[in-house]
Amino acid sequence: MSDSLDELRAEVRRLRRTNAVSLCLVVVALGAGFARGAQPRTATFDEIDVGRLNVREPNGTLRLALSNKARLPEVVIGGKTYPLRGGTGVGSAGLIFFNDEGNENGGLVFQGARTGSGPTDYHASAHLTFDQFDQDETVALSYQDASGRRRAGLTVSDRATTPIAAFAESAMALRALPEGPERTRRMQSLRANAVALGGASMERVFVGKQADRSAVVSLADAGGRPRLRLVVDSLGTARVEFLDEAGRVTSRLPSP
Amino acid sequence: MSERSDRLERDVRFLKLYAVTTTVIMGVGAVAAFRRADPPAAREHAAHEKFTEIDVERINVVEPDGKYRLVISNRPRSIGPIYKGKPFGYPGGGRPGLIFFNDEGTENGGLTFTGKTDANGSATASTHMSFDQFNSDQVLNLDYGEEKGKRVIGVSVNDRADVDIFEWVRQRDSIMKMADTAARAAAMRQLTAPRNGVPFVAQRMFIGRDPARNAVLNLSDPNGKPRLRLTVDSLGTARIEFLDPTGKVTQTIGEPRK
Repeated sequence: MSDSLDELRAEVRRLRRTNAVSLCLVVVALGAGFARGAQPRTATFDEIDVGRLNVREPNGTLRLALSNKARLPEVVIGGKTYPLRGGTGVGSAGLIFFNDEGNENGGLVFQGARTGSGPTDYHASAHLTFDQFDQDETVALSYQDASGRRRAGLTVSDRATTPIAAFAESAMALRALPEGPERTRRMQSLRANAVALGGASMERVFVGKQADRSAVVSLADAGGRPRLRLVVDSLGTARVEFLDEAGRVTSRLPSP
Repeated sequence: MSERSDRLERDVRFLKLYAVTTTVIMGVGAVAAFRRADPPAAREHAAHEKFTEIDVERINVVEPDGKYRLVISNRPRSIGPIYKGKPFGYPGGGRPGLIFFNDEGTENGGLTFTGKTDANGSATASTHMSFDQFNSDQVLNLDYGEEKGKRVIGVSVNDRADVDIFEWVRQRDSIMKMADTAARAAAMRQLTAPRNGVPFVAQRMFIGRDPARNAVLNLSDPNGKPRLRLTVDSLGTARIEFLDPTGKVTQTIGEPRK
């Protein structure tokens, strides 16, 4: 009995020691594990396949998203997300940029797909756009191609000085309506009031080629009406044109 | 005696149970801690990984020898200028976006974007894509810039003298350390002076919308002086102007400037 009692005492001592040691080890391991979560982590890969990559500021604000079509982020205006892309068939993939306040301020997006079996049954586009602060596209480098009707070039636009949020809100309200005459009427009204709501774009400069296969430099007034135009048309004829507000050519070089 | 040994046995049973339970709990906790810190395969060098979505503060695309090819970053982790793999000029932290590098690991362009409102509600914003001359600086830019309501939007093309940017920055930094202000100013003038008749930098072309709200196309001579200017001003008046090297208009087509 005394022997087994001594054995028991020894076992208790052993267990106490084991407990203390394992407790220490596990606490150290736990601490190290959780501490690593808070430290900067870097990893090296030869190649990454990804549906979407988010570059975020330390506070979590999205700065850039590089995405496939399915995961392209929704528009963020004034800190609010607008589901304007989902289901609308925008259908582009690429990069979307966000400013220091987390609002969208540009992107580089591209798409292209066949729409049928004919040689011109396709649509394709690529856009690099920079947005005016709290507004929309002010610089665009674009290629747009609808079944062989192509426009490619640089566009510089004036935007409203008021934020585009009011226009976005109206557009969202409109999208919630069912198809019908009421929606059509409201759509027309939204377009007519685009300037007041800050949703209008006045193209001031275009340089590139037009759908009619002319190469042009076009300078427009503050209302977006072209007033001075350099053109080499699809037949190779060159001309410089001055235009009035109504779009009539008032003078041209060389003189006709 | 028998009572004491019974108690001892109970103690031992309790201690055994305690040891097993705490070890299991702690073990699970430790595994959880490491898993939280480490998404699968994030630590080791992985050849090809597949993710649905990744959140990151910076991505470096590197060549097999480790040289940068492209850095995509948020603001604080953004990279400063790099010349043949060496940082120079100024520290990083102010260029959120994409920075490009050539085959020698020297910066050769980028696409950066910023924008915020200050305490008075005034916005400062810029989006800037630039392509750099080899071992030099920007020669083609696509810009939107806004400060205190003034906006510049458009494309510029620049001529640059054949000056190595790393050497130029080294010289500039040593000039900036000069105590004699007159000598320092003279040295800076010399540093930015034309080389063999070629200006240090000269804008040859701008097309876009200027701060005065004109839509303009400027074509300039090698000294950066506009010589042919197409303008549609903020009132809608259109003109073509030919200018001499001093900036004087020598001929106007369309309505003359008032």
